[in-house]
Amino acid sequence: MPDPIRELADKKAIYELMAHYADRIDANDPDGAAACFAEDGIGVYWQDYVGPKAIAERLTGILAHFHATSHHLSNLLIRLDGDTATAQSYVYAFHRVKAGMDKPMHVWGRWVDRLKKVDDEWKFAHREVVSVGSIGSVRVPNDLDHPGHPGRLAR
Amino acid sequence: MSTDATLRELVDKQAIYELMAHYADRIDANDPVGAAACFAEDGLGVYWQDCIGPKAIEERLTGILDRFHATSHHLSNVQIRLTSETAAAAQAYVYAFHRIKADMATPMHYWGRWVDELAKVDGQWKFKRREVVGIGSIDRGVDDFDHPGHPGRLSREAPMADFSVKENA
Repeated sequence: MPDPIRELADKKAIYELMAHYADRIDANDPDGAAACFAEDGIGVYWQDYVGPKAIAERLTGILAHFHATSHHLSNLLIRLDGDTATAQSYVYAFHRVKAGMDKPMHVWGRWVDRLKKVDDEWKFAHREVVSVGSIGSVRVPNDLDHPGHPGRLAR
Repeated sequence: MSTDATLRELVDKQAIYELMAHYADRIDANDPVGAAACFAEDGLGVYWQDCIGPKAIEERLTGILDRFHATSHHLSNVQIRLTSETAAAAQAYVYAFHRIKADMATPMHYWGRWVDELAKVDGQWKFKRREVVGIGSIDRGVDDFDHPGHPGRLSREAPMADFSVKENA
């Protein structure tokens, strides 16, 4: 296969993995979301979880906060290197919170990923959520308490 | 269209999408130099005034970005039309979250679109012209109606639909 076709196909497959992950999160399906990770994959949800089982447990606890969520994926930048890749993408997420159904939580951030091809399928080798802002966060006491863009310049 | 031409079109569209995503990333990294480098040397950035060339664009962006503690520009609805092997027209939607230094408590939300002309310079796509067109905003809780809106929005008068559910309809 000529390289440009392979590159486009790999980027498309990675995009679909990311979209599938968001769909499984929003389906309240932690097992389905965790299955997007490689067997030794690391999910960083404000601390490290190694492997689909630990990731599924962590996601179960996180998702238990919410009546409904909607994770909107955009701004994909993927860099391929053979059977591995690095990627970043933006996410805006709407959350209907069980503890306060009248006040939705909004989160803006990015996913920072390393990926690898396992048996011809792209999987997350390392996925970290980096938040940039929020309204009505149930996680941080103050909506200003976010790490922000990992490379944000001070000027 | 030949397979080669189709492939070239897909590769060009992917490259242009990545330029747009890279531009948003540089804006949100508070990096006006990096964002301005997405323009051609004679590129025109329309940020409510015309700025010609990366240096003028960088200065304008510096002034704009200085207002914000954090921003997040979410790109979608990308439509690209290649007009030659080295030229393209594009539009993309943007929703942007802004945390404002002067009022950290209340974020600003902005909805609009980018309207672009692009050129391939030394094998790399660059913005030849990029204009931000606002559709709406919520700035510190106050609705802001002063936006040009969709450049092709049609004006029509018609009775409003009734959303109530009628029995035996």
